[in-house]
Amino acid sequence: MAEAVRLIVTGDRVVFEITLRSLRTASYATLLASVVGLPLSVLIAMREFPGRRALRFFFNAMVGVPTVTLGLFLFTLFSRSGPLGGLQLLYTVPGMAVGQAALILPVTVSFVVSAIESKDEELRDLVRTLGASEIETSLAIVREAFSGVSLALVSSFNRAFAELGIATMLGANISGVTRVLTTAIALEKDKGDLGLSFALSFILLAVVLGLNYVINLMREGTA
Amino acid sequence: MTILYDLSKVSKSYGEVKALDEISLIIEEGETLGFFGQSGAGKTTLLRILSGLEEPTSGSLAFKGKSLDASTRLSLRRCATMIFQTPLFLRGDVFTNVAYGLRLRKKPDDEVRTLVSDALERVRLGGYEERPARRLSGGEQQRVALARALVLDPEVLLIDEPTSNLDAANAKVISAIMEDEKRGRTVIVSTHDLDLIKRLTDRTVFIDGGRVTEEGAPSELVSITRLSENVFTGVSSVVEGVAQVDVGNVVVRAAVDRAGRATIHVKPEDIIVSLERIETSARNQFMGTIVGVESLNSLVLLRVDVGETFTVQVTDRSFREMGLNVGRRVYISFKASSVIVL
Repeated sequence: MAEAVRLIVTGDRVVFEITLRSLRTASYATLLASVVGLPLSVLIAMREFPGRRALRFFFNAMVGVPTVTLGLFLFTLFSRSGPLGGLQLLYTVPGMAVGQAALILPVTVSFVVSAIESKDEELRDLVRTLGASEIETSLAIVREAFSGVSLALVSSFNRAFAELGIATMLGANISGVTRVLTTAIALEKDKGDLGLSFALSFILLAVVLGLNYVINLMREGTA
Repeated sequence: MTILYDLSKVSKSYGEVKALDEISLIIEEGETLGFFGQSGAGKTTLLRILSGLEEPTSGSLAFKGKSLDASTRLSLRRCATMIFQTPLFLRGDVFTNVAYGLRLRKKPDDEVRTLVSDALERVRLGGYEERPARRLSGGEQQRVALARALVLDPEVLLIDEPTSNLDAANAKVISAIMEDEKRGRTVIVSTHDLDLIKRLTDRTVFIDGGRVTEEGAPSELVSITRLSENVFTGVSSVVEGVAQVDVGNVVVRAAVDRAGRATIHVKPEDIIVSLERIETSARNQFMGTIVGVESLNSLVLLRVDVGETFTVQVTDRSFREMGLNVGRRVYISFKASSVIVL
C-alpha cells in the first residue's frame, strides 16, 4: 500500500506513461464511436427505414457484450492472416482503440437514441416550422438532448477505459507500446508486484469515480 | 386577389383514422381565415398540412401556384410559421428561443438583437430576453411563442387554438395582439372561441368530422348562428368522470373527461321544459323563469333565466297546453351527454 501511494505521489514515469496511454486509447475509441454513433443514432431515432427496429434491438442487445468474446472475434479479424490483417492494427494503440470503439458503439447508440427519443416529437415540429431543414432539425434535437448525449459519451468512455478483454486480446500488454492500466494491473498482480498493481488500480478507480461524479452532475442538470 | 393556397380533395389518414376527408379550399393572400369546429374535427391536421409539417395522404396542395413536394416543403415552412396550441421551448432563455428562426436565416447578430427586442415589445413582453422561457406563466409562454413566429415576419401565420389554454384576461391580450398583427399578412387561426372568430376573421370555415361543412363570413354561418344560442364558457373540473363546468351562475354537467377552461353548447331542442321538478336520468336540472318568448312557425323559442339564460325550443302545441308564458316559473332539464364541449 505504502508503495502504491509512493508511486503515485512521486509521479513514477512508468505509472504516468501507462495512465496516459489508457486515457489516449479510450479517448480515440470514444471519438471513433461518436463519429459513427451520433449520425447513426439520429437516423435510428428520427427516421423510418426498413430494419430500423432490428438495428435498435441489435445495439441494445450488444450493450452488454463480453469484452473477451468481442476481443477474440476482433483478434481473428485483425491477425495477420485475418481479413483485416493488412491494416496491421494488431498490437497497436489504434488497434486497441478500434476494438474498444466496437465495444462501446452499442452503448453510445442506445443511450443517444433514448436521449433523442425522450425529446418530444412536437419539439421537432417547432424547429421545422421555424424554418429548419432536416439536417438543422437533427442538429437542434441533438443539442436539446445535450445532457443525454453527454451522458452517453461519458458512459462510453468509461466502459472503454475500464475494460480488460479487448486490451489483452488486441494489445497483448506489450511494455511501452500497448500496456494500459487494466492489462498492467493484471500482469503486475501475476508477477506479485502488488504495490504497482494497487497504484494503477487507484488511478483507474479515481478516473472512473470522477467520471461517475460528472455523470451525476449532468443528471441533476437534466432534472 | 392572389391565391395563396389551393387545396383539392386533400385527405389525411393516421392508420385507420381519417382526420381529413377530401378538403377542397382556396385561401387568398392577406385574408384572415378561421377554422371553426369541435375538438377532433381536423382543424389542427389541416393547419399542419398548410404549414408544411405534414403531407396529405391523398389530394393535391399548391402554394403560390406550385404544387408541394419534399423539395418545396422547406420553402413553404420558411414563409408559413405555425404556432402550436401548447407552447414549447428550446433550452435557454426567451432571447435564444425568439432568435432561433432568425439564426437559421443567417441574420447578423445586431439585427437579431433589434428584431427580437422589437418582437417582444409587440407581444407586450419588452425586456423579457433573459428570462428562462420554460418558467414563464402560461399566458407569457403563449406570447413568447407568438413573438418567436412574428419576429420572422412570415407571410402566413398559422395559429392553433391560441386562447384555449388561457384564462379570459390572457385570452384578451392574445386576441388583441393578433388583431394588430393580422395586417399585411395571411392569418389562419383554428379555434372554438366564438369571440375570436367574430372579432378576428374575415371568413370562417366550419369543419366537422374532417370535412368542410360550411364557409363564409362569420356572421353568415348557420353553424355559428345556431351555436350562438346556449354557448357558455367556464372552468371545468372532472368529478367521477363527469365534467362539472362552472359557467358563472350555474354548474353544468357534461359527459366528457375534460378539465380546465371549456366552452360548452347545448342545442335548444335538447332541453326539456317542465312545470314541476321531475325524476329523470338527465344530470342537469335547473329552476328558472321564462324571460322571453319567440314564435318560429310551429315552434317556440323560450328564454329561460336559471342564473344564466338558456334558449329552449318547444313545439307550439306544448307551449299552449302547458300554459307557458313570460314570468312563468319552470324547470329545464338536459342530459350530460347532450352537452357539447367545443
